[in-house]
Order: sequence, then C-alpha cells, then structure tokens
Amino acid sequence: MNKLFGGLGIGHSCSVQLEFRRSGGGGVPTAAVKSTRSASRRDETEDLPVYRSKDTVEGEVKITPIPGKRVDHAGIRVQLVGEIELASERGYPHEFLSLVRDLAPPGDLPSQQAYSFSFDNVEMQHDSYLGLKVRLRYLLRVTVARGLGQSTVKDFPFWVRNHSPAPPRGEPIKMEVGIEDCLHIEFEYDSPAFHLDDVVIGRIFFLLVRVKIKHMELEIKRRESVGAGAAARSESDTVAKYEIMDGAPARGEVIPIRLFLAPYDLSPSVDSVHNRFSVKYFLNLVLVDEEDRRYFKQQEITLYRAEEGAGDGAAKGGAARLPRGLVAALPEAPPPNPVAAA
Amino acid sequence: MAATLSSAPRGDVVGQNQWLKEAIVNIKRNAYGLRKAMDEDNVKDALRYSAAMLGELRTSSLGPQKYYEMYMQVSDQLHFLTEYFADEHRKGRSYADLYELVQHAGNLLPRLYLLCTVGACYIRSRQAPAKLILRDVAELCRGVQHPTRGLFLRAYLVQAYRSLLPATGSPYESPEGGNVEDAADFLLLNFTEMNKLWVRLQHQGGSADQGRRETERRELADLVGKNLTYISQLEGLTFAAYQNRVLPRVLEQVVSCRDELAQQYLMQALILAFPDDFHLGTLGTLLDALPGLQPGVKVATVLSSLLDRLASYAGANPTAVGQMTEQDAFGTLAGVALRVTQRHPDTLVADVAGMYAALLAFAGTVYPERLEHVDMVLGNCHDALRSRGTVPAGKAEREVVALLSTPLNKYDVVTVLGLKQYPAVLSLLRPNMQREVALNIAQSLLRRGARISSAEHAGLLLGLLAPLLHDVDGIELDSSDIEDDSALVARVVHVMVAADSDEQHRVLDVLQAALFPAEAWAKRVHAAVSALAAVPAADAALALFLVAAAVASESARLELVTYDLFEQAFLLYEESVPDSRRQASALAAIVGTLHRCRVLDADARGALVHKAAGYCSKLLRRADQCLAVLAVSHLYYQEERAEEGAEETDASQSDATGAHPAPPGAGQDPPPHPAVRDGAAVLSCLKRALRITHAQQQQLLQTGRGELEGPGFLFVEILNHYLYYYERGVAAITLSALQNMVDLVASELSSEACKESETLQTFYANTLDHVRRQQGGDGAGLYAGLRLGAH
Repeated sequence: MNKLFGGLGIGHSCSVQLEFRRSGGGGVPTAAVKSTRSASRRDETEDLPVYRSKDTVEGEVKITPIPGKRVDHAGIRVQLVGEIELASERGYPHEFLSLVRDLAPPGDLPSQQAYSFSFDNVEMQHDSYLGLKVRLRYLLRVTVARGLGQSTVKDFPFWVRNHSPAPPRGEPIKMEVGIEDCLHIEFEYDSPAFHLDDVVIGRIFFLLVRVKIKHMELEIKRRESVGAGAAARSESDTVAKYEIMDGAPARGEVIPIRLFLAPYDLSPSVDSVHNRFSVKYFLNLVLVDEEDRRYFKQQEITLYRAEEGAGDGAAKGGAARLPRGLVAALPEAPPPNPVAAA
Repeated sequence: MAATLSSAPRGDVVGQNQWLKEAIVNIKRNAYGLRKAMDEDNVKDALRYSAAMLGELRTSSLGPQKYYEMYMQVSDQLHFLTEYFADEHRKGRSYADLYELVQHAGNLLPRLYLLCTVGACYIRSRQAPAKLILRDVAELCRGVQHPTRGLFLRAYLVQAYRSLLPATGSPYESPEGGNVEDAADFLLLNFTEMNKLWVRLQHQGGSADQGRRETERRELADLVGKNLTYISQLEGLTFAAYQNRVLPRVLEQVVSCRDELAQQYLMQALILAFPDDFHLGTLGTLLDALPGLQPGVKVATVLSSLLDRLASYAGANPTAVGQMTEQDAFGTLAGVALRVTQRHPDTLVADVAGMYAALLAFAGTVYPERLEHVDMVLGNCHDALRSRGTVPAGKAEREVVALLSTPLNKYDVVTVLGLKQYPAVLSLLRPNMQREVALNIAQSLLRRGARISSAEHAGLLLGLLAPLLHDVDGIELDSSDIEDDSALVARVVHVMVAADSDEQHRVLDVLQAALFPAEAWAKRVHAAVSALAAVPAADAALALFLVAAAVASESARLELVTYDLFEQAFLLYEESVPDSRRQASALAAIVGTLHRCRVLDADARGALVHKAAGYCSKLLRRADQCLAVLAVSHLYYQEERAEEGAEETDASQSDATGAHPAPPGAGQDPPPHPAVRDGAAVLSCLKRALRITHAQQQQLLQTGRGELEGPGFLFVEILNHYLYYYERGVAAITLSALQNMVDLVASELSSEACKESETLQTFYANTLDHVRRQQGGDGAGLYAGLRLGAH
C-alpha cells in the first residue's frame, strides 16, 4: 500500500517529488530498463536516470503538504542507497552504500518547499542488476521524519552502468566435442569476451554426422549464483535463442555464426559482488535431432560494457561504415579425425 | 505464426493443398501488416511482419512443387520490402544499420531472406563494395542445410543479385567492389552449395520414395543449372578465367557429388551453357572428367552433346578446324568414345549410336577430306554395337539410321561406297530398317546426279541396295512398295555408266549377278512382263521374257521358271508377232537365248528346240528361213563355254569383297546340264539350209530375178557354218563334205550376178582368207587336203 499510494500522498500528510538534475543544467540521461516493480511483467520497461561511478548525483526534492494541512516534521533528509536484495531475504536488503544529506531541520512546513541536494563523486562501482533471484539497485530515499510510524519515506530509483576497458582479447574459443560414432563437431568463437553491443562471430565444423539433425541454435544463458559456500544457489535462464542452422548438414559442412548481442537484455559478467552473488554468461550451442533430442555444449564468455564510442562503436558514427562481422570466407573443414570417424 | 518447424511427414496432395492454402492466408495477413507498418513508418513492426511472413517458408509439410508456389507468393511480397528499404535509406537510415538490424531475427530462414533483400538494396546503392556483400550473403546462406528450403533460398539469392554482379562494365565493378572473377566466384559458390543440397534431396526420408524424389529433383534441376547459365552470361568472363577458375570448380563439384542425376544434368548443362571455343580450349580437362562419373551416367549422351557443339562450331568457324587438328581433337574424342563403350557395357544402344552419330558428324565437319576417320568411327561403332546384339526397334534404330545417313548427306554416295565399314554397320539393323537406309542411299544418289562408273562401285552399291532388290525375311511389302522399289532401282541402274565399254560390260555383269539372283525376283519379273504382254507391246515383252529366261537360267538356275518363261515367249511369238520381219528377228532372239540355256533337262530343252526348229519353216521369206535354220543348228551344238569359267571367277571375287550377299539358295543349285553335241542334227540343219537356198535360187530364176545375189550370201553363210562346225570337230562334217561345200560355193559365186556384188565378194574372200590363214597356221592339220579352187 505504501508503494502504491505513496506518490499521491494519500494516507500521508504530504507528497514527495524528486527531480534528478545535472550541474550544468538539463536532464539526466535515461535508459529504458526492466521495470523494478516486482508486480509488473518482465518485459515492461521504465525509463530511469543513468549514472556511472564517480558521477555527482544531484537534484531537487519538493515536499508538498496536503492542501489545508500543515506538516510538522522531525527533519527531512535524502539518502543515496546501494543495496543487494536476494529473493530469499526479501525485505532485508544488504546495503553496501549509504550516504545521507539533511535537507531541513525539524520544523513546520506550511506550504510547498524545494530543497536542492548533491552527492558528489559517488563511488558506485557495481552495476545495477535485476535478475531472477537477486537485484542490485541504487536509489535516492527521501524521508520526512515524523512521530513514530508516521514518517513519510519515498524511494527514487536510478540506474548505474559502468563502463570497463576491454579485457585482453584472449584466444578464440575452440573446442571439439562429440558423441562417439554419432556426432563430432568442432566449433569456434572468435573471442572469449564480448562487449554488450558486440557481435559473436564463429563457425561450426561438422566432422561426423550420423544423427538426423533438425536444426541448431545458439543460446545465451545467464547463470546467477547467490550466496556463498554451502548456501550457494544457482539459477539459470536463457536470455537469447538464435537459430543458426536449419536442416541436417553433411559431413564437412561449415556453418557460420554471427550473433548480434544488442537486441538482448544483457549485463556485464560479475563475480562475487560483495560475496552475495555472481552473474555469468554462457554461449550454449544446441543441436536438436528429429526425435527432439538435444545435444549441447556450453562455453562461458565474459561480457563487459564498453566505453561508449569505444571499440567497434568507433566506426558507428562514420557515414560509410560497413556492417560488422562481414564474412570474408569460411575456411574449409579440417580433415576429420580418423579415430573419431572410425 | 502458424508455420513451425514441423517434422511431420509430407501429406498427400490434399493435405499439402490445405496446408498451402492456410499458409497463403497467413502470408497475405502478414503482408498486410507489413504494408501497414511501412505506411506508419514503423521499422520494427515492418521487420516483425516480414519475418512472420517469411516464417511460412520454414515448413517441412510441402513437396517442392507446392513449396515453389508458396515461395512465389512470398517473393512477390519481398518486392515491397525492397522499396521500403530504399525508402528508409532515403530517410537517412544507413544500409549498414539495416543490414545489421535484419540479422536480429531469431529464425534463420526469415533472417537470411531479409538479409538477401537488404544486401541487394545495399549493393544497388553502391555504398558497399559488391563483392563483400556477395560473399557475405552467399556464405551465411550455408546455415540452411535443408535441401528444399536451401535450394529456394539460394534461388532467391541468385535471382536477387543477378543484376548486381560486378561483371566487366557493370556499375558495380571497381577495385573494391570486385570484378568479373568475384562475380564468378559468387555464382560458383552458390552453384556448389545448391548442387550439394539438390543431391541431398535424394536422400531425404526412406528408400521407398526414391522414384518420386527423383521426379521432384528433375523439376528442380534448372534452379541449379541457372548458376552455370549466369556464369556463362557474365560480361568479361575470359577464357583464362573459365579455364582456371570456373571449369575446375564446376567439374570438381560435379564429379565429387557422386550423383547420377546431377552429373548427367550438369555435364549437359555445362556443355550447353558455355561457348564452343571454351570447350575446345578445355577439351582435355572436360574429357578427363568423364571417366570419373558414376557408372549409371549416360556418358555417351554427354559426349554426344559435346560433339554436336564442336561440330557445329567447326562448321561455322573455319579457324577452329585448325585448332582442332592441332590438338588432335578427333583422336582424343574417338579414344574417349571407345573407352566409354568399353567401360560401360550396359550403355544403351541408342546412346552408343547417338554418340557415334555425333562423332561422325564431328569428323565429317572438321575433317571432311579424311575419310579414314569416318571409316574408323563406323568401325568402332560397329564393334560397339555388335557386342550389344541387334539394334532394337525404336530410338536405337533411328539413331543408327541417322548415323548412316550422316555420310550420305555429307558426301556423295560414291564416297560412301569407299567406306569399308559402312555395310557392316548397316547389317546390324533389322531388315526393314536396312531397307529404309537403302532407299535413302538410292534417293541420295539420284538426287545428286552422281554416276557409278566402275564395276567395283556398282557391286558395293548393289550390295547396299540389296533389300530393294529381293525379298527379305521379315519385310512385308505391298505391290506399290515393290513398284516403287523397282522404279528406284531402275533409275539407279541408269546412272551406272562406265567410261569405256569394257568397264561397262563388267558393270553390267555385276548388275546381272546382283539383280537376277533369286526365284522371288523371277516371279516378280514374270508377273511384270506378263502384264506388259497384255498390252500391244509384244516385241518388248518377248524380249523381256527372253532376258528373264536367260537370267533365270544362267544366273538363278531355276529350271521350271526358265521353261515357263520360254513357254510364254513362244506363245507370245505365235500369237502376237504377225509381221514377218519381226518374226525373223524374234526367232533369232529366241534361238540365241535358248542356245545359251543350260539349266533345262534334255526333254524340256528338246521340246523347245523342236518348236523353234519348226518355226523356221513357217517363216515367209526363204532367206529368213535359211538363216533361222542355220541359227537353229547351234541349238544342237553348245559351246563348252569359256564364259562359264569367267563367271565363276566373278562369283569368287564378289564373295571375297563381300560387297553383295550371295543369292539365296545359291549353294543348292543343280549343276548345269552338259553341253548338247548332236553332230547329225547339226548336219541335217545345214543341209536343210542348203535346200532352202537352192529352193530360193530356183524361185528367183523362175520369177526372172536370177540376177539377184541373195542366194550367194546364203551360200557363203552356210559355208561359214560348215567351217565353224568343222573347226570344232563335229564328226558329221567330214573333210569331203566340206570340200563339196567349198566347191559348190565356188561355183555358185562364179555366177555373173554374184561377181557384181562387191559386198558378197568381200564376204566370200574373207571366208576363204580365213581358211588359208588356218592352213598356214594353227589349223594346218585340219585343213590339209582342202582345196579352195583357183580363185
């Protein structure tokens, strides 16, 4: 009830509004992110202000008493909170960041009052994250303190996205897998690490095909691990399904992979954030045969958020840029392993 | 989205139609949504609807035929999308963005159709190097490995990019955009991939449907073949590029796919698609590929196509002939043809014949003067066909006939006669087909107005025409056919004209041997001449009966037929020859023919001779009677004929050459009866002649015409006969009888009337000279004691 009616101030003596601002004037950049309201459907989005670490978070809070009422309060303050909330500990988030600015001393508010605030160079090293069993979020919490149980508290979420430098490119992922006398493939992805707007380039060599394959797809899987040690729990979900082959290949065929990551809701891979959770991503290669049996192999990849305009994005501005990932030519299939083929 | 990846077995036609109907409804609905989204300028929705529409193509429930119908529906709609992309681009969205954007589609097949569509717009805008996009889309399409879906996708690909290839002179050609080789590479890659899919179509599902799948595949063949056609149509494709880049890759794919249907179709397509000079330049490579093809491939047919092309090329382009000679194209091709027939013993006769017909046409066009080539082809063909038994009716037969007709059209008939293997190939045909070819030969000969001027050629020709000359087992002819044949043969006989009379005689001998060998023929002639006899042309009919009788006797050795013909001739003589002069000459002809006749037995012959002798006295003029009796004398004395030996030699010659088959039943001929030698009868004839002459003399004296020299001639004539028989040792003609005759003639000729006739005196003097020469030479013993009087 508090959340639903809080904005309108019903049940409270005043309404609270907050506007994010930038010191130079103008609005704060926003991004459409999955709605944080737990009741809403997964594919609904809301626009939230976006910050990154070391940004200054500033703005203005307006307190408006209900017309005809005065507001007595024990002080008004705004808090910048960073918290990790696990599904198993709902309602008891772990706060890893908490900064406070007092806006007004205890007193009496006869009419609307506006207060500016500013948190300078806030260290927000973790990205906002909304997963299945865990979320990491940032918010500004405005509290109009009153007597016991009478305080008005309102949260104003915002989103944090940090850019990281590209990790060393790393060796391409290459792997030969198979089921003896049944299916042997070799696949390769050009890199083990991708930024969120990257293209996964790769190819699959069919060395031996004795099953009737119907199609093949590449999945992006996300695995959340929550907790630590013996209490650790993992939860996986499939973020993307991308068909890369239709029909049954013959031995010797080489199938190209080119998967654009941009359309999917991905986040950077993180490891052991405050010992509370990790998020890992995997490319899962799935072959489905005519009896709907699935043959798959997953490989972990590292996702990171690249600096805007860095990396491949650099070319994006140019008028004459070419599409990314154009195939020069697929290599011939390597000679099949005689032992495997036998 | 109604269409899903379905592995349900393909339904019956009704089921497929139902499915197609629903799919088309979905396509139209999504197409409507697509156009609405375009109007609203909503890119995201436009792509969503496109993908949904294209998603219908993901079905596995339709056979290729129905799938094609659906494909056509969809590809119609893709035109709108092309316009829309162009429009988006005008509004400022870059093609690079669009190119990436369409790749966000999760399903492969819609994604690739969209990518092809955008890519085409992209190249057309010339904002991307053509070769990069071409390469990209062609490679990405590898994702579709399902045969039907892949084939149609790539068909769409090649259709969409056909006009956007960086061929020479095209607006898309540039250092970055690529050149004709890149264009060829694109089509080659597409060709290779399409062929793999096409071959794979055969192996979908169980083995029970092999036949149906083969039919389906044939319907799709042109989708694959089009790639080759388009390569051949590329502007600026040089021979070098063809030789080094195109051909090896095409052949590599064709050979390695190990699929009969594909190899058969593609080899033919390759030969048809590319220009002749390319084939000529790469002949070795092309031919080397043939042995690697699957055993079931009709290599002969493939080779035929190639040969046809090369032949017509050589025909139209004389410089090519030099090139062909230089690289011994004929030798190579003939060698390959030979290997093909040896390696594939199960090749159909029709295909073998077709191949050799093509090789023959090629040899004829390229080396018109090298007859030995033609003969060699015929020889190889004969060997190849003989090992496969008789040429069966139908296509095979027509091919062989065509093969045999080629040299007739190319050369004249006389040249064809020089082809030693020609009759051998001809003999492989069924009799009625041999007759067809024979007709062909005769007509060709007459049409060109050629002359047969040697006995050898005449023999060879008549050998080829044998089916027209006599009945052959297995052919039923009606009388009009026989008439036509006979007329044709008659015309052929008229072109047998030798330069000198010796040769002409030999020609006629050959002709006689060939034309009159058979009983059946005799019957035919009998019927024909009888018909002639019924009209007022008795002389001609009589003459023909006699000729027929002579042939029946001397060539056919048919006793009864001979007798019958004589009988007819005699009847005709009695009933239809009223004029005395004509009677005389007719009788002479009868006697002449009968004289040579050896086939009749003594009784039959005796009857005829008796009859003929009887006719003599019925002649009106005594001079005619005398001469006739003299002639009849010969009927009692047949020569041991020198010509008998000569004939035998002839026969053995013709057997050796094999030019014309021996007459049927020749082996069972009765030996001719021994020569008749009846000296007494001869003498009686001579005496009778003398009596007639005396009677004539008296007749002339009494009628006051004693001055006429007529009897003088008769006396000398009789003397000549005496000499003739004496020299031949007829015992009845004694020296004294001869002496009497000499004296008689000497006295008769001393009359005034006779002395005035120079002709008669010359005749007489020549006769005496003959005797004197004999006395002084070979006949000295014989004529010793003969006195010639004091002239």
